[in-house]
Amino acid sequence: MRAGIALIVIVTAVATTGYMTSETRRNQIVWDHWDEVKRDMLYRSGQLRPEQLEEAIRRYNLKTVVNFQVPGPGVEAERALCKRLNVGFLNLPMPGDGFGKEPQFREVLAAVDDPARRPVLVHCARGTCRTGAAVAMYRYERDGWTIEDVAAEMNRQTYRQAWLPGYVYAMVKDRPNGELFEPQVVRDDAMTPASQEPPR
Amino acid sequence: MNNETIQARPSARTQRVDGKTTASVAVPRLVTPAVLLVAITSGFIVLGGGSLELTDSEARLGLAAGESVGPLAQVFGGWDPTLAPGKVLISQLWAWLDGGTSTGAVRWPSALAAVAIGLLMARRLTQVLGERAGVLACLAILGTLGMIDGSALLGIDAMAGLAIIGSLDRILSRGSDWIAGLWAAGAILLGGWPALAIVLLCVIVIGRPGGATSMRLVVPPVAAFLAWSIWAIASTRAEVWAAALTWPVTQPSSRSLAPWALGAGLPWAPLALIWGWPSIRESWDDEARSLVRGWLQVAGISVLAGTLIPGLSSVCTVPILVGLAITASASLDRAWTGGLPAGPRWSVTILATILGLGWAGLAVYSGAYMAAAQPYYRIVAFVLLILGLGTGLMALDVISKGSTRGAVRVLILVAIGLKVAHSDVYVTETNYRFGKGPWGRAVGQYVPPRSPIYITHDISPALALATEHPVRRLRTEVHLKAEPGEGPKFVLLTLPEFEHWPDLAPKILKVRVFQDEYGGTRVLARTEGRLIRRDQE
Repeated sequence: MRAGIALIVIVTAVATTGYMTSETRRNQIVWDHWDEVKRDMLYRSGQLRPEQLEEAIRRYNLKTVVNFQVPGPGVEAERALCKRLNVGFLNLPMPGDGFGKEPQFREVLAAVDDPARRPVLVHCARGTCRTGAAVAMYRYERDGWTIEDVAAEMNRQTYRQAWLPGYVYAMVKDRPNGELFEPQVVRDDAMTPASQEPPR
Repeated sequence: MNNETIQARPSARTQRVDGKTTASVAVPRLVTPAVLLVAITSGFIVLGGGSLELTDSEARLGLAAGESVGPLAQVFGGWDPTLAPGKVLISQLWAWLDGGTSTGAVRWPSALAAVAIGLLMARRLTQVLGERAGVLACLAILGTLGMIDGSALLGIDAMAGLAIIGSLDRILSRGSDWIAGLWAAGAILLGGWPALAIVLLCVIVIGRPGGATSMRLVVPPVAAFLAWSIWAIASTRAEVWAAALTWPVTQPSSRSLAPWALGAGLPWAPLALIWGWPSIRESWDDEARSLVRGWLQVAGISVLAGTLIPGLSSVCTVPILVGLAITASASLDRAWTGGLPAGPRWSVTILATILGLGWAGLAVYSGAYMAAAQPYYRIVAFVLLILGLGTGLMALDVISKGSTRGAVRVLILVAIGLKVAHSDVYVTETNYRFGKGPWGRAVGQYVPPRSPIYITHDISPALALATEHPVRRLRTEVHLKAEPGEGPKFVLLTLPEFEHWPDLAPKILKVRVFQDEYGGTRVLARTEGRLIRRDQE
């Protein structure tokens, strides 16, 4: 009896998890990597299906959609959807690893800064690298976050490599005063060979 | 402690060399009560004890920990009568040992106080009911939602709670002696007069011979109060001292105290109900009966006092939680021995099954969802799934057999599941969504080390603490001139404050504009002058 109950529960749980995982991978249950960066200003996600994007635009009153993917049928379909819904669309194609160019990231900042163009949704295919880099730029330039906190947020959004926070930080104009915080050059005299030390 | 759980028996083993010799091998007794207590305190409280970011009310203590020692707390450069002086001193000591104030200066003293409460009550129940009851008491106190969380959000004030519990424990077991009085003095210093009021209310209402109010109980707290008052009036002003005394009565009573405290006591508190069965109590001797009844009375008095009397609710949750936990653990200890009539036995198993299945449902649903949809939480989601399934299966087994020991095991699994979910999901998510850390550190990185940041309006104390700089509030912008120190002074302003900076005040330059977490604007500015480089300090 107990073994039967245990078997039913385990099979049900495994089947449910498997089904949910499968459905999630097809974006059926949740919006892929959807998250709020700052309410009514900036949102992020992976690639949403057309009906999900339409729902997101309606629910969050999105004014601009930014897609970082390389132009193709998917991007064109999204552009047409945004046009139909009277929402701004911005295509900023960049490599999938997120190493975009500074002007591209600054386009995102310009959209978020403009009250007529926000809330803005930024997304790529998975919502991790390219989207993460754009959000990192926003955190540095507008929120002033430290590089450690930006890296922690990217990690939380499942970016597992270490490069992008530093790569984007190099583009940031408004950084803590270099005169105050640049590391000093420390010369370690102990490295001098003993034979060259002056006699005492 | 129960033989089945902690006493390893010598076991007969066949030696494989010759296939015939049978030797008796003594298995070392690894699971001793001490080991269990260490596992409970470290697993439920110490592990991740400093991770949760502070709420604004807690962050005031963190800010005070970074200021100089005094009879009252100092926050934003002014006296703060809302914080108990003893608690501030302990946080200051922690900050001094830690090399600066931070979340840990608030969380760790509180966590250690919680551990002390658990061990104190474990010791008491061990003396009265045996080792198993002691371990169960520690588990029922520390393995609760409230103690695992340990934050003011659930009404937990562990430091004041420790002093209250210490005093009441002494009074209920030994009477109103000097040690009880010293604990009471600690209560007034760590929780203000509301903490002492709870102790005295319990003493008066319970009214045991030898446990009534006495000089030995009253003199130490009165002396502590007088000494603190003299220090406070001499160091500050009488108005500040009076504000500290009257502040608690400005706080409302809490009508929702009882359900909140019961929630904070999950999963163990509901098991206190089984104390109502006479067959549970009949097996105890007079001392045990008196002890449990006393703690149940403490819980009841604390519920009434916190619900009805303004100012007392802030220190009542811990006594309620401990009172219910002592009752539950003593009753479960009796249930563990078996031989109970059907009524109490089914009460235990039904309550444990409801709690177990409720938790299992939540854990399996949320675990499956997170495992599927939240990659960041995938590992912990699988852990929760497995724990939830195990708990659910065990709960079904308990109800099918009516096993009281199984019921206790179900509750232990629920407590472990709560700890995992709290530390690996709730804390992470709360810090990310609501934490002020990144916003405060953003500002702090633009200010030279140890330089104060001045403000002209109150800001979130949690934000101020996260800047990792002393924060001082100015009466007016002009007062910035009179602030001590050489070099530029930094001010954190709203945009309108910056744009309307008065001409009479020292001229300021914009350092950095920050967007806040709601899309508003903060401006960090500084007075003119040369910045001092680190290597020139």
